[in-house]
Amino acid sequence: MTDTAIKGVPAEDDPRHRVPLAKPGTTLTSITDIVAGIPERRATPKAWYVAFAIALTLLGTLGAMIAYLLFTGVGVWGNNNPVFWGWPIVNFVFWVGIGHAGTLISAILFLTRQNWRTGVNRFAEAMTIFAVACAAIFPGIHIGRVWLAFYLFPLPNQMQMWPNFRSPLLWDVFAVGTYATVSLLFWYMGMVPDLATLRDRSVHKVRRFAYGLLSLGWTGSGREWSRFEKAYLILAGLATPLVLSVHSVVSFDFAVSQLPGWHTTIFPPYFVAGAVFSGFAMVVSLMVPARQFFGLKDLITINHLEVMNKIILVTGTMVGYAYAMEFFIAWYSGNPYERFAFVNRAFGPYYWAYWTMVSCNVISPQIFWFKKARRSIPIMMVVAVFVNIGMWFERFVITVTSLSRDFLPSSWGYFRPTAIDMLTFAGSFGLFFTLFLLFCRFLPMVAMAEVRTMVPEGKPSHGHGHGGSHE
Amino acid sequence: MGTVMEAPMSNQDKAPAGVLALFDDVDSLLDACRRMRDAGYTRWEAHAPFPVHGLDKAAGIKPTVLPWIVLVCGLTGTGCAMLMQWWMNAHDYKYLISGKPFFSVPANVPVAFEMTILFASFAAFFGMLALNRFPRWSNPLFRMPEFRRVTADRFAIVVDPADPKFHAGAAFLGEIGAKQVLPVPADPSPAKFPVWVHMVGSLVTMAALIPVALIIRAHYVTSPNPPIHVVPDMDFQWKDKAQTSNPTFADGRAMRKAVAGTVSVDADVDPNLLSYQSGKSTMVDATGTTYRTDFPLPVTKELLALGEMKFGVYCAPCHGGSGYGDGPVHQRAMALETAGWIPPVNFHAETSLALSTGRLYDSIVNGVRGNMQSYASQLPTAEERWAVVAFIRALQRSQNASTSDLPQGMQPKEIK
Repeated sequence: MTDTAIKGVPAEDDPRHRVPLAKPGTTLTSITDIVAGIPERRATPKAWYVAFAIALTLLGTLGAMIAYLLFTGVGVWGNNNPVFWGWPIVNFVFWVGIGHAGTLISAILFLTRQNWRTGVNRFAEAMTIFAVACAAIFPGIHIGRVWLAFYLFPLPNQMQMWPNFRSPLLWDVFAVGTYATVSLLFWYMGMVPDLATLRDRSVHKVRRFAYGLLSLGWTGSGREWSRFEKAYLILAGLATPLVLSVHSVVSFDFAVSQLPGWHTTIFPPYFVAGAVFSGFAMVVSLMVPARQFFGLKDLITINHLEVMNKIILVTGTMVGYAYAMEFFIAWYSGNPYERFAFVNRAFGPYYWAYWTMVSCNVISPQIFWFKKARRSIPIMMVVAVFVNIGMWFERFVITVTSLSRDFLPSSWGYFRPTAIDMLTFAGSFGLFFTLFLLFCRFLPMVAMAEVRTMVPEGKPSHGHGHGGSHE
Repeated sequence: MGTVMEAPMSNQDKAPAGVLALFDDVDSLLDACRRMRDAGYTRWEAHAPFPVHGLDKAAGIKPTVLPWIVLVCGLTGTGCAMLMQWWMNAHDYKYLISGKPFFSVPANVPVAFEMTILFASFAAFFGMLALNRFPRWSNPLFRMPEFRRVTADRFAIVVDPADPKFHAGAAFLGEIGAKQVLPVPADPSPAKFPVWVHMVGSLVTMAALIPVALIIRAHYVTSPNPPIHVVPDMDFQWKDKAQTSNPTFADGRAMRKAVAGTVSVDADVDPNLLSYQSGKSTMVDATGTTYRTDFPLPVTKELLALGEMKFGVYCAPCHGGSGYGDGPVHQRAMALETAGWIPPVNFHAETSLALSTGRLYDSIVNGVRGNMQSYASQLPTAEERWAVVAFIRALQRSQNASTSDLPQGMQPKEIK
């Protein structure tokens, strides 16, 4: 760092230097102590118990609502002719969308060598898996006769029939199933070296046994690392097209049908951008309290959050462009039904949902053009929550406004959710947060092995000292 | 090895499982690795808490075969997906969807793509585990407290006793910068599972096969017991079927009679409208049947418009829009050279022009020759049927007109 500072530019903004990815002074030992110290704490913090109790209550609500649904039937929801896809599908798309940030951070940012991902990837991957778990519930219970859910899969059955492979709904089963499986493998495989660290640090026999079981006998040998890194790179390469395909296939559920407002070719990229957008917002809204609460500020710095806010700004603007383009195409197509669908979306009976969506998703992230806003914890929390609300409304607007004005004006109506709808959705947050809190308590929240390579101790200094010239 | 009943041997009695050398920083590890490699050691490993850049080269680690395993499995996934979709939808249970081909690649791409990724990912994950011999829960290194920091912030080299230069290893490691060199104690536990583990394992395996065997047996054996109804509300619905009894009603009939005062849609129809054999004027045709030749209701513009509409919907597909018997159904039958196809009647043939109104009505209600079915249910009221008859008459007039049909004063003058 011999070069002089640029006049008027603070040192941390100097584009000639990389932003530090961990607080200066962080060492191999301190990384391990900070991250492994969280699951090793003797006394569980009281606040964790409070949060866990709330999450369990919501999870119980979800269970009760599903039980009520099973014993009574889908009439307990607001779904009706012609709005057959009500809140359950809205919630499904909402959660699947959130589940996109984790793999994006892990895979795409890994392939593009965005090293800042190391601090946040584990956290985001965990969030992905829990969000996909929440998402998987909704199509399962939406089929009505839940005990026949195996019809979703090509299994031999007494009718000697097979599913229709031309249906995007079946593609969805394969896409979401593959995504959940690959995300889980990716998350778990990345965690094996860190679980070995926890195994070797644990004093208690039970902990040592449990972490020993999960770490599969990892010793950190050169050959293990070599194969591990190759497998990680391959999984990243496979997960990258996968993450783009999953929300594209989810969008096919809509786009392949002939309904005005759904039958548009912009849906796949528009859905993927929206998914990344909502996923990053969820990561920010969970990470800010977690890094504060668990003392991870040295590893997940404000620079990490700023980069994520930049991605929120970019994807939010892409989503805004898609909203505008939908209107343009509806007008340009000259199709009166398509035009009606969009005018009705913005100015019809669901105008309030449409404008909530636009204000939350397009307008609120624009504040991130300002560096101060990108680095302000309160502002980013507010925007992240707004984005999550807005993205839920986006799915509501797409699903409900199109369906409630179908081809038969005699069946037009106004969709109203029931209390069961709302409690089921609230309950899905219970599942999400229960899993998330368990993750925070018992597993390494930051990829220690990866962060170790980001500090000076983790970087071999070639050519220095003894025998460096052997190469 | 010994038998299971023997007490575990003390680990001092066994040869050491290797030698462990600890290093404090990554540079000294890399340096030591290069020296080990250059000194000709072959069976040794360098351990680090993170993937060390340049370690592969320094320790002489060859690239892994994993990418090839992944490639083969990924292609297997594509192949399986295509085969599965072809077999399920185009062979075993054919789906005809909007007349599309039973098997076409574009519709099968999404599932094939997802299964390629799935198989390849399984290969990457399980291939990595298998190549690393994972899971390996028992490792002599895990018994050494000194090794525990190697997964956190220390570095190590472990030499295997199988290395030809193992005897000199400990001394050499000290020379090349190891902070500490220790023998790795051998694993004190017996190398074989105790007999009771085998016995319990076999018993559990056999017990687990019982339900499977019962299910397979059920496939081949018939049973006098009624089937188990997993979903009773679908098999036993709360409804009465036709011709059954229901004690709720005094007469015990599940099918209810019409409520008193109900008026049938075809009640009170003028019998004259329904009759096609007797009218103001009649004729006897070649078969000796009497048919009326008049219309039982006034022929108005509205009636003809109704007839035109109904003719277009129900008659034109076979008889053609102008009634020449050349509708699209006929043309299709001709194109396919359908065997035994009887062409629809041409309303403008001489025999057709001679048909009475009653005969046309009869054809609509009762069908003709076995080729044309009854259209009574498509044209449920007498007005609609007579409207079609009137329209056929109008068609015949229009297609067989002569100059004498033109109004007075519009007839062409003869050219002299």
